[in-house]
Amino acid sequence: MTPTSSGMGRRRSIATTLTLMNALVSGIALLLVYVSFLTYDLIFFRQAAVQNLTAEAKIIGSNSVSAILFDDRTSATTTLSALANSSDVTAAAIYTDRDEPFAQYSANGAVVPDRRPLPANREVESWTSGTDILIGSRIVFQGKTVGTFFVQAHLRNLRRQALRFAAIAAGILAFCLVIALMVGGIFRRILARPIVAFAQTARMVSRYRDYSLRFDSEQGYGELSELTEAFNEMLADIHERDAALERAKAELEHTVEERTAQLQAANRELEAFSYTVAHDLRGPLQTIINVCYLLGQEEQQATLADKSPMLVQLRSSVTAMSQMIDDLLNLSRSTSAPLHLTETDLSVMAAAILKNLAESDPNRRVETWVHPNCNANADPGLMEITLQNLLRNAWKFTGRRNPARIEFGCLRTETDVVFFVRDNGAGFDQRMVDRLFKPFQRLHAASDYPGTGIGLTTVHRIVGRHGGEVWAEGEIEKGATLYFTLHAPRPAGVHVPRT
Amino acid sequence: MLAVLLPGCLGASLSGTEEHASDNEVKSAYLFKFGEFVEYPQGPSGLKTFDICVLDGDPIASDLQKITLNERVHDVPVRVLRFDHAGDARDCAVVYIGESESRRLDKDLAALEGSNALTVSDQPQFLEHGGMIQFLLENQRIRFAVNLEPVEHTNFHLSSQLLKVAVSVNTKPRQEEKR
Repeated sequence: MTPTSSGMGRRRSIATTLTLMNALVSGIALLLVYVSFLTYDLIFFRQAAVQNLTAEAKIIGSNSVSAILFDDRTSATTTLSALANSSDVTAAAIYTDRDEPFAQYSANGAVVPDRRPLPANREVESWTSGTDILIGSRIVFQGKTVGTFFVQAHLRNLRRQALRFAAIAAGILAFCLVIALMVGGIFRRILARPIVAFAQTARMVSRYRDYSLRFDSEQGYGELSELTEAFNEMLADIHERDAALERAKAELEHTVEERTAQLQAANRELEAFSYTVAHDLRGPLQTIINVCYLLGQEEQQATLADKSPMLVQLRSSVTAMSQMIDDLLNLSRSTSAPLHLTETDLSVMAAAILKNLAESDPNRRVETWVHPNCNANADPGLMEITLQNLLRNAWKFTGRRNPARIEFGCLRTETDVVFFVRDNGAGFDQRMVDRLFKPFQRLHAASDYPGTGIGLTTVHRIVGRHGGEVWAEGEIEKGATLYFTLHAPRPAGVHVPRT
Repeated sequence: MLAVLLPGCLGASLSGTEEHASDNEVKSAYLFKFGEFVEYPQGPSGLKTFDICVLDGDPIASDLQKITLNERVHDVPVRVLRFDHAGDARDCAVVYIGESESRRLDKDLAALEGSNALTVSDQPQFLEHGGMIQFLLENQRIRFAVNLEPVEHTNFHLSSQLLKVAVSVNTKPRQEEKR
């Protein structure tokens, strides 16, 4: 609002500047009026004075004719003394036609005007200088110049008039200044204050980078309110962009976190994998080493028939190792192999697998039931691995059931087809369901149900890669059902009634 | 007497004053100028020349002649005439009665009575005898006095401008008449 000492003119507020301008303009206008009035007065008054004096000079001249002609200076002086009534006249003189001084008049000891030559063709001539006037007039009688008359006047009134005008002008100027200040005040309220508020808001915005601030558009008028609106729109724009940027940043961070978590999970899996490989492969390997040692030790004494249990053990260990390596390869494949989607009949596939299982374990009595026509648009190789894992699990966990029962089927929902494998085996504690699909987590003792612990993990990955989901329902000693979809997430409320 | 003395006096005062003219020259100039202050209310009808007449061969006549050469008064040429008898000067506009005429002043004035001539003279008591303008010496300057009474009977007036510069203006008879 007030001019700061450091800023000088640049910092002076609009209101102050306008007040000053107002005062300056009215001052100049008044000065011009004063000067023009004074000039007009000077010219007008002087002209009037010249006219009056000229008339007076003519009268005095003609009244002095006889005095000049008959050389009566006393009479001429008396005539001149009448000039005392004219307050402006300071001195006068009559000269004869031979340019000799004839009579004089002087008020308050003023200098009597000298004779000046008059132009031949003029009867009256006037000389003016400021407020001084000199009139020269020929005294003509009967067509002949008998003398000249000079009268000098000083326009005292004009000077007084100028002073009076100056006083009036000063008064008006002071009044104008007061008006200018008042107008400035009004202006400040109407225009400058909104601008000041505007400037303050702008300063706040630029200093604190707070783009949520808004200019008060209620305060200004006309262009000012348009300006504030435009600025507000700009601020809103910036604010919005800021928010978008913020959102994008949050999203990015979220993604990074997610990726990091994934990476960490992968890392953990890798660690567990390494550990399992080291630990689990060492078991059968140790057995093979031991058996080989014993075979070497008892080579001479024992018969081949004596060695048969050892050979069976050796074979079992090698088979376990081979299975583990197969599973690991499958897990690896499930993650890295490219998808080749084709229409695949999972029913046929499941039936074949179950047939193989039955052949490899002819001593078991297992009832299998495969629903026909369970088709899916899926990668056949990965589907083979999936079904192998699920059905082998079912086969394995029903080992103590007689008869065991294994069912493969599919349900049509609104979004997708839900496939399932059900058994009446050992089942599991539903509370532990989360651990089911994690690698190398076993819900049963390896001695009861041997396994690598990566089968369901592999299934989880394959289903996930197809865009589906796998989940399980189970109860200890009452069997388990494993469901999976391939192209949609788990639908709510899907449950296969127990048969 | 006075006329005889005057040239000497004037001559002595010539260097002291700004006056360059002799007494007679001044008087003749005045005589000529009087004409210009004579006003004819009915207009100067019938005036073909403005005659300034000098009685009794006064030396003024020659000075007057010099001054008025080719001059005009009231738009008519000025003539200077000399007469020996006042009776002959009745048609003149201005009649100057010289000093030599003093002995028969009354006779001359009587001869001019009823005419429209402005009578002028140097002679003392001229106004008392019924003359109109009389020259006199005041502060070594030539001045004149006026008697308006005889002017009343003529067809002209004397301008107030002239009366203003007169030493005295005698209007007694008129004032008495008015009373």
